[in-house]
Amino acid sequence: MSRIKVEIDGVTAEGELFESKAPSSAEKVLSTLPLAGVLRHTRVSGNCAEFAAPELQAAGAVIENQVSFLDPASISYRPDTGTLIFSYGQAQARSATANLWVVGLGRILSNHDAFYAQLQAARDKGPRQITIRRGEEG
Amino acid sequence: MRKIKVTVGKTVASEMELLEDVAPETAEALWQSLPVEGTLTHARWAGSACWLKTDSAPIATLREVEHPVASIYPGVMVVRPNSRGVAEIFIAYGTSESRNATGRAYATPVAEVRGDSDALFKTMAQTWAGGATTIRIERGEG
Repeated sequence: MSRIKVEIDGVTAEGELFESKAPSSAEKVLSTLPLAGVLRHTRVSGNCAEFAAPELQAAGAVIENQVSFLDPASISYRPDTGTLIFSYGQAQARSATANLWVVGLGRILSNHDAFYAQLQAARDKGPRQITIRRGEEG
Repeated sequence: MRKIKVTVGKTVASEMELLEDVAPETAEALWQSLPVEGTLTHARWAGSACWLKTDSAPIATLREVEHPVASIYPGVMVVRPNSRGVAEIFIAYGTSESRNATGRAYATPVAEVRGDSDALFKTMAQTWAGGATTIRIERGEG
């Protein structure tokens, strides 16, 4: 199981990627790491924040391990837009006009409360800085 | 037609007209509840809109949606009653639909911007990029 480390404004949490359920997606995301950029709160999907990077885009990629509702601590992936979504509460992948299917890519394993606070801060205080790195293999 | 004044942040004030012909009970309840002050936060579910919640009565005591709508057009203020004794007030600055975790959540249209709305819309949009701000809703002239 591949591990990643996600740091948001100084708060670090460890996550795992579901390589058995979403092998191509996990491989794609891992191949791009490390990545850094801006984490923004979503506007139509509820309690989650997202990070988009051109390196993550994979036009036409299959949506593996399809999910729409995003459980707290989940890490989800939209290949078409190159977006990683981190949930901290009730959330659903949506556009302005419809519900969406996204890749159920992984989950956050540690430091949940502090990590969730940073995700919510992306809404209450504005975008946060995020860095995603490879972690130690589990 | 009665008017209300909406101040977002420190400088942006806009005049809105109460939609008394569309939702007379809700418009009256909002009028009687003013002034309302609070934190204006970007919507999580509704798209290009901002919202605040208030426990000011009588708007916070309403339990019924009057003239239900789901779409919130730019410049329109809607009110969503909830069972926790607060009213949720949304104002749209772009494409927006009243939603919650389970889907559409119908709301009462209660006021609409009159005149230039550019500054108001820009300030509301900025809450997504810059975080929450303050809002004051008070009785206007006329």
